[in-house]
Amino acid sequence: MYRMSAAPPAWPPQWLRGVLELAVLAVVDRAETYGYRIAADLEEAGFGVVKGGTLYPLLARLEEDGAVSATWRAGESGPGRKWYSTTPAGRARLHDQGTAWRAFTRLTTDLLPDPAPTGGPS
Amino acid sequence: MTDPTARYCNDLLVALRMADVPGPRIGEVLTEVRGHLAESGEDPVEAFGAPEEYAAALAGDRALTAPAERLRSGLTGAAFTLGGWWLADGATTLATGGPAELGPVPLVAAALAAAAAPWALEQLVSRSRARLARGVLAIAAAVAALTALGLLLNDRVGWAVPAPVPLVLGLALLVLGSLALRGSADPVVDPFDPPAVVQAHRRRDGALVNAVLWAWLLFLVALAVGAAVLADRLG
Repeated sequence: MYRMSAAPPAWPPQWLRGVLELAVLAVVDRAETYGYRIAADLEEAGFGVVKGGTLYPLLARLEEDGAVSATWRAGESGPGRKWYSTTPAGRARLHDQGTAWRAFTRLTTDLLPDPAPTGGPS
Repeated sequence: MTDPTARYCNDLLVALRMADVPGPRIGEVLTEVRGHLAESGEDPVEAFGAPEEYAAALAGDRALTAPAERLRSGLTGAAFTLGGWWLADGATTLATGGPAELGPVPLVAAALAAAAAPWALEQLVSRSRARLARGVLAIAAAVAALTALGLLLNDRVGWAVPAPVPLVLGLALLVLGSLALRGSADPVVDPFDPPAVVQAHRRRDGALVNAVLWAWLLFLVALAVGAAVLADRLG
């Protein structure tokens, strides 16, 4: 995964909209986790700040689709949290969409000109 | 003064109610919001957007209230409107003497209440002045139209009945409406509440809504009877 050493670039919002569901599913699949932790992991991975107003409705949709399951657990000292984990259907979705995403990014990368100066007309 | 999170959660609760989100789901959303803000230290609006926008994002295009539930709430609204009207009619004619009349106007009012009561309530509790004005205007227009219809049909359509008839029918409808309302209470509950506590919340909310409705109803009936008696003595 792309890891940032400095402040992450501001990715175009339409890119994030397209990939956020897959990224959230990937984070949840790593280990059982909860909303704020998911946002923090995504930020650490270089996606920038994912607002709660974007993240929680997405998690609700994934739960409704049966891609993740959720359990409420009381915190020992802090607030109670809703813990999310992927279901078998969610893992299958992650696998399928992950494969498609890799093929898609490969296509896009192949299509783009080399980042080095091309010496074309000025 | 309340802190920004408490204030935001209050506004969000109202917005979610207006978006027809069920009470237990609202409880989950509020717990998530409080937990997220406690950990991140973010400003509520910065993190989640305006309460109305966040409620809309959570509600989406999904039909959150089952059609059966919508039908029940429509019928309950109609029962209260028709029952209240007949109760006032019966009490007024008992106080002033003479027969009562079972006409079509209360039926039209009940049909209107069944179809538009949730929409009207949504406008009336909105913080938007434009929506509030729209709600007040719509209700005023409905009352004016019903009054005009009543004057137009004056004594021409309807059945003259003894005063106790609408009184008893009205009371029976109100009791039925009360029972339906008690069963449909949908309180906002904390996801950590055990089922017994949720049940207690449901009973408490049902009783509270019924108490408020009955208080308003009896006040309006007393007002109608008082006005009718006064007009009778002056006339």
